[in-house]
Amino acid sequence: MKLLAGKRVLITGGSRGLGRELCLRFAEHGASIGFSYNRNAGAARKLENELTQLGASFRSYQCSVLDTDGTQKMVKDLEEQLGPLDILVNNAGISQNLPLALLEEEDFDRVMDTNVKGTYLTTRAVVRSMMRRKSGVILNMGSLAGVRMIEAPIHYCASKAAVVGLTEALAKELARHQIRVLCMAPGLLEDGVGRNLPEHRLKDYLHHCALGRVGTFREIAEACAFLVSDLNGYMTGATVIADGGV
Amino acid sequence: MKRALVIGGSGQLGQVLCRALHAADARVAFTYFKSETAARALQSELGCDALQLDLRELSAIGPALLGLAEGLGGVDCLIHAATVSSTLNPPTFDRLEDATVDGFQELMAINVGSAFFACQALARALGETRGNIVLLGSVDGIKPVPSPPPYAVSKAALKGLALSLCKALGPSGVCVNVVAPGVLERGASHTLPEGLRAEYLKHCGLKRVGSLEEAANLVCWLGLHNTYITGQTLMVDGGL
Repeated sequence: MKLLAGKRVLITGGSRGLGRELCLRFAEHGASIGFSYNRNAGAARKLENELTQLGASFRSYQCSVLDTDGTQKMVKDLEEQLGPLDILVNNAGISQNLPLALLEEEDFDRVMDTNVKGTYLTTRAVVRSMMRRKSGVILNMGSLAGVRMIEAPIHYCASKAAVVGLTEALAKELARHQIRVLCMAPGLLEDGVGRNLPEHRLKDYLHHCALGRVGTFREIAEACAFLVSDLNGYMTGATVIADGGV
Repeated sequence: MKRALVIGGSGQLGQVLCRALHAADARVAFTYFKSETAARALQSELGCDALQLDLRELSAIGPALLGLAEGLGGVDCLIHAATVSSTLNPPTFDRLEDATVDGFQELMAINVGSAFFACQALARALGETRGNIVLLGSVDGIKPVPSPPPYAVSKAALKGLALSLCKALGPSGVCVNVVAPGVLERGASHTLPEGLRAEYLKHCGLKRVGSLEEAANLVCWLGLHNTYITGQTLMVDGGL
């Protein structure tokens, strides 16, 4: 079943990892895709080829989520090319495996800026058009690290907890415009931000995870496709944890 | 073709669920108790198995469900949608002082006990298919809202059941979740007093009650497609 037929979607941080999978699965579900990437032009070109093979309508933009002007231009161009955006996925995010003692101020700022401020800036650029049309869905990418007490870098945990707060406040603010705001909080994923995790921490996760395995990008992307679809029209402000039962 | 077993298929939400599962190409079987006419009509409409089952008889649940599952040729998804909202007859929005002992025991048997023993009976069969269990909770069991205390207690218990069973059944690949709707247009919300409905609408972000379909869609997706969400209670409350 195509969950997103005719929908126009912007996915930030779309060229690699979960972002790439979101682009591909959403395209398979019938959506037109706009995706942004920061640096990896090679990965972006590869994804463009894959989207072409799927027969999807798409546009790609090299644009940091912290580039306010660039983000506004990207959204304007995307809406001119594809039409008004129905769905925004604030997926771009970074992490670093650093203990507090080694965490420099600029490390903290970089993670908070990308994961939180970037979500705010992109949302602000997209939301006016959604408000005018009284329709839209915003999906923010959280993390298990933002909702549970686990051993993870403090700046990453703090940034993902902030995304939950942002989701809830924004859901209340935008509900009057019939815009839904949700947060997906995955646990460890194959080749995700946990790929540099020390062996003992991965073992610990698998020990505590009821399903006994890390998640796949595909199963998270499929869950996201349902969450942002019209079938899920009465859920807003929720953070959905997909962690295999940690 | 996925095979879905629905407990409480003839209620208002149960019927919508069975139709949604059928529309998603699942093979459906359901139980019912009081609404025989509705159950027979649904059975004939969907061409599926239906079994009259008194969920207060907890020891009868296991054998009955195993029989239904055998008729389906296995089970990929168990949905518990049977709900009693009041300890009184006719049902009201119970106040603390209204609840009766017999009514409380009956409500807990239907809302919680039957869910527990259904999961117990089908755990092995669901492990064979790495299936899903979805329990119908309520905002009343999760958030501090004015609610009938016995009903709220029973729905909160389902959250505990999902938390425990996700760990117990995770190693065999079974996911267990609760869908907790806010006020819906019909179903268990029918006893809500008008004043509380207005209060709900005041605080609900989307400023409307939910449709049965909106709750059923999430239940169906979790039941038929979910593979990594487990132990969760998912709120469908319009942003309360």
